[in-house]
Amino acid sequence: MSGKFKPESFLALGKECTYRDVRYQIIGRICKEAQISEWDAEDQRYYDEPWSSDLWVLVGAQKEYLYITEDREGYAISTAFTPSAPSIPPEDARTMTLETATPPRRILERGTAKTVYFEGEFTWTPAIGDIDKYCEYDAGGVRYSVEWKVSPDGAGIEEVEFFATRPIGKLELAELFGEQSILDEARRASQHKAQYRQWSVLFWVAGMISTLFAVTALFREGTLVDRFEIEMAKIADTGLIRGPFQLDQVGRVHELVLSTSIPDNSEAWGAAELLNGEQAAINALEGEFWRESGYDSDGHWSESDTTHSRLFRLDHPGTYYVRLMADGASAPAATLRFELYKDVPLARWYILTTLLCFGLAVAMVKYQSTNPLYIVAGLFAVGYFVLSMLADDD
Amino acid sequence: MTVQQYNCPTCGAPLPVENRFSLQVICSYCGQSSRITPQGLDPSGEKALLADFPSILSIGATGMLRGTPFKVLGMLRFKYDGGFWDEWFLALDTGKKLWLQEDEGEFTAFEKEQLTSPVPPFEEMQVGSLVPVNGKQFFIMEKRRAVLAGGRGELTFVVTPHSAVGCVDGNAGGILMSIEYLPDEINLSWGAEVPLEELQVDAP
Ligand SMILES: [Zn+2]
Repeated sequence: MSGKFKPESFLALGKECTYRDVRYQIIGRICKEAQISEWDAEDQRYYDEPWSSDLWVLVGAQKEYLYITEDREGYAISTAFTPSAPSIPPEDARTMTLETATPPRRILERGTAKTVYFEGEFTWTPAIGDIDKYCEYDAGGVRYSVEWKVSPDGAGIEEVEFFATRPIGKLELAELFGEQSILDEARRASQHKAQYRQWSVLFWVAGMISTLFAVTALFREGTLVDRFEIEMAKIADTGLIRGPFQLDQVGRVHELVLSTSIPDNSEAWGAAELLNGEQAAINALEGEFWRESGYDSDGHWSESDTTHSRLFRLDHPGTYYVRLMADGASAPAATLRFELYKDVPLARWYILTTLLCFGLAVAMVKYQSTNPLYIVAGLFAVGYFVLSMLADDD
Repeated sequence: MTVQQYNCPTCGAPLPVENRFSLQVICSYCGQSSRITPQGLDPSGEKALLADFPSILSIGATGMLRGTPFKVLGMLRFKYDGGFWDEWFLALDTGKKLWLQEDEGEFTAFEKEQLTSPVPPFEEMQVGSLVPVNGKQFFIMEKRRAVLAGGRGELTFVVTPHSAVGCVDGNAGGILMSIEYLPDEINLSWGAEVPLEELQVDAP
């Protein structure tokens, strides 16, 4: 057999199928190369393109003929039919019908096909170079076509036939032929699909839980350890020591917050140093506080910066102090408020987990893949999430 | 039902003629074709013995076609480039006569209709065109030249073996139509495909 015209599918000469309760056998195959003109409904015009297809000829026990067309768009099954209004539309016709009861329909495709190869047995005598022309329209999901064989001199028509064609999926066709291996393969693919769907659902759920935690974390502060407010002027130059605080949650997030109530158009400076048991500074937070307002062409305006905060973790459990310092010379009425929180939830980790889970869920569906990398990444995210959650609770 | 019992003038084989409108009988054994005359058989026709090809039908066979009992009276064989086809002349129990075309094991039943107006000659019949025939638009789907190879049994018209015939097949308003151009007459017939399950032949 010529390598160029090898069949591309599981169909082969001699194979049998059952279609509409009739047993058929493939007796021949004709390879055709065509120049077709196809209607594009969106662009409202015809596009010309070359097309190649295989025509499988099947015959039933009672000489019924069945044709399977195979091309790059898939498969279609055709049977001959006897139209009530037979005709060949003129070359320039844009609509046609083959039935008296069907009003003229848009011609969806026309073509001129040349036989380039054939194999098998036929009840007629195909020849390489045979030219067939056809014209087809759609009615109720069925393609109705008139096909005519051009005489070798190109001048006349040798034969006219009418076909009704329905597209058929590869699986449906494989089922007709009882092709177990193809059906098994499809089943494996659908199992694979079910698998990635399951994973995808899992990540989706994880993402939603994570979202819930992220939202909660955004609106929740940590546990207050100390809150203290004092007029800035009352803080000595050497500072003011708060504490001792017993802080034992190593590795957890703590937060120092400094805020002021400050009169308009004034500024101040404040700082908080975290001291260890030996009163040595191990972390510090400082900042300028200010509030300004005025009038301009747009009316009243007001700007301020009255809060500074710092997150930190501890390396060791133990006793800690905080030294507050302030310079409120230009704002005598200003007060400094200090807060220390432990166990501060960090929304950003949950947000990250959320994004990762949703991303994986979408990616798995989109690429229909259960790439181990995805699963590992997803499990990692979920694992991280679970750890953060557990840690939050102790 | 036998109307007349003849013997082949050439070989002496029995030749029953059951249809009183039959004009010709062809001996299945020697292929001699004879005109049926009031005086008896006139063996003036040509002799053409047909090869036996397997078929479920044979001269004298009985059976049921679409539920109606029939008997095979005659047969004609046509040859063309691509092969041959047979046409079986059937007498139905209802008194109707039918032609059952057998082509590669496919059966089509044709009922003859009198032509009410002249049809264009074979040469002018164009495949793919519409021709008015008996008040209908006849769409020509296929046209072939053939040679009448011969026949068997009795026929309602006289045919000459080896004569050229033209066949034009098509569709008129959703029904298969066929026009046969024989040397001396043009036959118009309406056809319908007969699925094998609608054709039962009694065991001989
Ligand atoms: Zn004889």
